[in-house]
Amino acid sequence: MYQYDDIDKAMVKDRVAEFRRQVDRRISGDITEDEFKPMRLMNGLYLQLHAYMLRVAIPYGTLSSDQLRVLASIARDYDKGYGHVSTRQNMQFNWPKLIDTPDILDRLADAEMHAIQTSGNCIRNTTTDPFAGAAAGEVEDPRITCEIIRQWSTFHPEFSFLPRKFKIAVSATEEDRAAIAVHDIGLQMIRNDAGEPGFKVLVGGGQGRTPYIAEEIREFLPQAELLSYLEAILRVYNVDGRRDNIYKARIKILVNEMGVEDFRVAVEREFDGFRAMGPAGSIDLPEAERARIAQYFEAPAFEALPETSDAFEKAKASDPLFAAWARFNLHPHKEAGYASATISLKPNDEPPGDVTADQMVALAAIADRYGFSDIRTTHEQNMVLPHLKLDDLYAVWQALEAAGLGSANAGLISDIIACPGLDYCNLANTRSIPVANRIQSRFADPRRQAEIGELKIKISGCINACGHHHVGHIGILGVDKKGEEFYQLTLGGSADEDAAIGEIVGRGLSTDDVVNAVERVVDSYLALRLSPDERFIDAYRRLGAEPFKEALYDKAA
Amino acid sequence: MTKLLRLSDGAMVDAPVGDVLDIAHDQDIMAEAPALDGVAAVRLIFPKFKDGRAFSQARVLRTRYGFTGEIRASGDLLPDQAAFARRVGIDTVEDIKAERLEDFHFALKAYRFAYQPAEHGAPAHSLRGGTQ
Repeated sequence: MYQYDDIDKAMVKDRVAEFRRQVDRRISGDITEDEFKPMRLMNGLYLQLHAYMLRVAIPYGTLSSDQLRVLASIARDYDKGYGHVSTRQNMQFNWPKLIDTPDILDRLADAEMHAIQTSGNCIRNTTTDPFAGAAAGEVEDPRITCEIIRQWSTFHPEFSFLPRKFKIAVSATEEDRAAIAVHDIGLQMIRNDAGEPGFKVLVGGGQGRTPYIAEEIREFLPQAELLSYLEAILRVYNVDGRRDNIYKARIKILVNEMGVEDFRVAVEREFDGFRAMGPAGSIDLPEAERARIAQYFEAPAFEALPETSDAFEKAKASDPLFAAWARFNLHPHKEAGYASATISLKPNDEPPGDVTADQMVALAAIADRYGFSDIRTTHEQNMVLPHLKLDDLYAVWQALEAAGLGSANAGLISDIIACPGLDYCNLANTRSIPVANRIQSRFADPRRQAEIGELKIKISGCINACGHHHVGHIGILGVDKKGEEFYQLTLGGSADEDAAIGEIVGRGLSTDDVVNAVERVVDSYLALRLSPDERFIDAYRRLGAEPFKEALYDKAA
Repeated sequence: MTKLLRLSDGAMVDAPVGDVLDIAHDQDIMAEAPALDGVAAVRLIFPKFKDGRAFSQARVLRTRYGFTGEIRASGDLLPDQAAFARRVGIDTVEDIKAERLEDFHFALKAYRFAYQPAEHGAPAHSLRGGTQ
């Protein structure tokens, strides 16, 4: 993974010194909360319902085991013993004290980490495939591009006060595990007919109260010109994006109001301007610097192994719990004899995405022993060990089980994305975590979950859609009606390469009825599917919303 | 005499004599070039600190139109934005409150490095061995 040099270290240390001074001024009363707010937000510090929340950046979801241990120490020393993986692959701490936050940032800086631009109207953490560097079919490791974007976007002098926040995602495979179509900019790495690497560029996707699937703005962007093209898009957005209404300030609204063709013309005009400046005036990265960054993402020293492992096959045959975990939580690896494992942070009855300090320490040790010290966070609020030998998987799983990290439910109905909701968030209308837990309880039987197969439930406690309900196979949106919590179902959403916004079905459901409604939808799917191989989302795409609506109403009536 | 904060060295200086061309914060100078012939100084406006359009305007003035005169910032520019302002090519800030001066001075030297190529300061990659 990327290693800081003296310049990178100075950058995060200078940031800590600056923030320490800002906090001192706030605590002494030199500056008001209004003046302090934009400064703390640029450092990932929110004021929530009960306390401050600090969002630590995990650039493109990649962590070393040492970094994970530092996060564990922060959870232990400054929080209530746990952290929370967010849908931008970051980690949130819900209970830090303001006066401690400079020390927390200092500790992060020593571990080559930070909380820079994890909030505010700036370019946020770039996200990518949690299986980056491990998945088959990559043009190259997408984290090279992500790190280039991280450095370019850090303290960008022109783009730190945008109309609204700005999110970029990168995918390097045909399968999209980074949800690029619901990002402000989505970059898909491809090769052109000449075999040269570059990007298909999507723009204007997003969730929130007005969801859009991103539109293609450029069929092929040469890799070397990435930053000038990003600057062109950001400049058009910075100048022309709406600033009169916070709900219309994202780039998706600008692209929609201008139309993608006019938007493309404006971007290409700026892009031509950069090209006209020639190599001397170019803001693009020199090839040598690209190569310097790329070398940090070279593959670890994989062993030459057979495709299959007797030890792995035997363990599956003798231990059904392990076999279930292996069935759902493993992802194929590009190297023979290896696999990637999803570490589910969705055990029943816990807040989705929470991980305790002890679990972080245990996971770090497992990664050191079996997985090249490499750990990932995922936008689905889980973690990943990307490089494991098949031979080691049984031992890995036993160690995960011992730490309470062995839930065999990746991609299943209990692997739910949920926003923090009214339990933490001052924007929320409703609670999210208890609904997730009640769905988990209803479908607690592992055989029933296995029979249902892949089904992605995503829950947002308000229209801001932080729980990604628009792209849930079943989405659940919490709404407040005269002081009472109601939940609106959406069906058929998807965040993959066939991205779609879910369709709203039926009226709002009461807290009591929402889990019943999910169960009715699931039961109707089981009755309607052609075979167990037809996933919920496939059946929905074949049949549309009608049969599911009918099931809802018939039995609800 | 109007006093200006000069971002290159943090000094308070007298405003030069002469006309200043005001460019409104919502003027799209990318689509339509401003009349810069014979203009010695341009004033860009920050109506609120959150409104970062002037950062782009300054960059476009410098790189697209090759404007070499003074670019002055006016309005609600926070001390914490001073280094950004300097890096996009803004030279001076007007109407600085005296009690804010120390904060501006701190902000102007808070960071030793920057990642991006800009009007001032070498980008990090040009300082890294062998990448010049």
